[in-house]
Amino acid sequence: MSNDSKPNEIILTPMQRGISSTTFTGRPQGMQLRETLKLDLIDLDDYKYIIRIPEGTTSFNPSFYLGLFFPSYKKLKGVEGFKNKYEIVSQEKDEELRLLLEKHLIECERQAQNEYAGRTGLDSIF
Amino acid sequence: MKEILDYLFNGWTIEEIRGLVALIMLLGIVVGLMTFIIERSIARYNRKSENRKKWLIEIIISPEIENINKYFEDFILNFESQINELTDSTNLKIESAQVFLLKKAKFISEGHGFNKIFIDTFVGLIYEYDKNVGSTLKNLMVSLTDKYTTSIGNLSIDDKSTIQEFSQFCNFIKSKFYRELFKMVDY
Repeated sequence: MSNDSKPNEIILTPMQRGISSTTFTGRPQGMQLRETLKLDLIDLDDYKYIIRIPEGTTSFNPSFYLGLFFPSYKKLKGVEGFKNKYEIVSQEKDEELRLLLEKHLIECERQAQNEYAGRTGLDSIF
Repeated sequence: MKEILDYLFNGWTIEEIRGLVALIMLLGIVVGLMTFIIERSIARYNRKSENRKKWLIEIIISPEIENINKYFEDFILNFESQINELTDSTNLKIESAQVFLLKKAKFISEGHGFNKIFIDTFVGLIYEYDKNVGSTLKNLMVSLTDKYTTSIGNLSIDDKSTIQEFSQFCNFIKSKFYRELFKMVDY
């Protein structure tokens, strides 16, 4: 598949949230999923990916996001590089729930950016 | 004694011996001066360090103790009221599973917002002062956020036992938070 063609898909499943859980939480859990999805290898290829978050997800916590994606931020040299390669979308049909999840993802991205730049939240206040 | 001196300085002129004595005296003065400078530097460093600690306690930590306590108390109270609302039998009869899910997501977002302010302001300030302590405090708050998220996210409709469990966890994090905070000032 060429770099310009349709992006590949990585579909997260409800089981990856944990048994009877509606949330993606915990840095170790994120790191574990990263290994399962072989993101270390995927980071190095030339393709683009869409990562789909399953329906019925009530939270995508920064801890999980950082465990799953932070090594990619480092390899792809920050937020721009990461966003050029990966797009994260919710598969939620309920609009209100989807908007809440999108807010979570914005916060996750902010924290990843801060961690990448070695900043604290104070930098965004002052 | 005279024999030892005769042995040591055999063949030295009186000027040479005077020169040696002057050199030894000069070395003594230099060593004394260096000791004085080093002692002054150490005292200045200690004083500066003490001033920083005093500043940290008086300006940053002490005025915030009440707010930190209130933050943890409010977090528990907020959680309790959210769980009560989620498990209220009257609501459960009329609400669909989707509404239950949406409520959970809204409550989780509220909790995240509550924590974010605390992490970005107070914990951020501590991080600027001491990166190690700041990181530890941030990790504690992240684990509290995660516990809060999973407690609500995994809640089944008739389970209120999570209130006590969360409250205990929150108090545990609070005590660890203070322990780490006061490590910076050797309390």
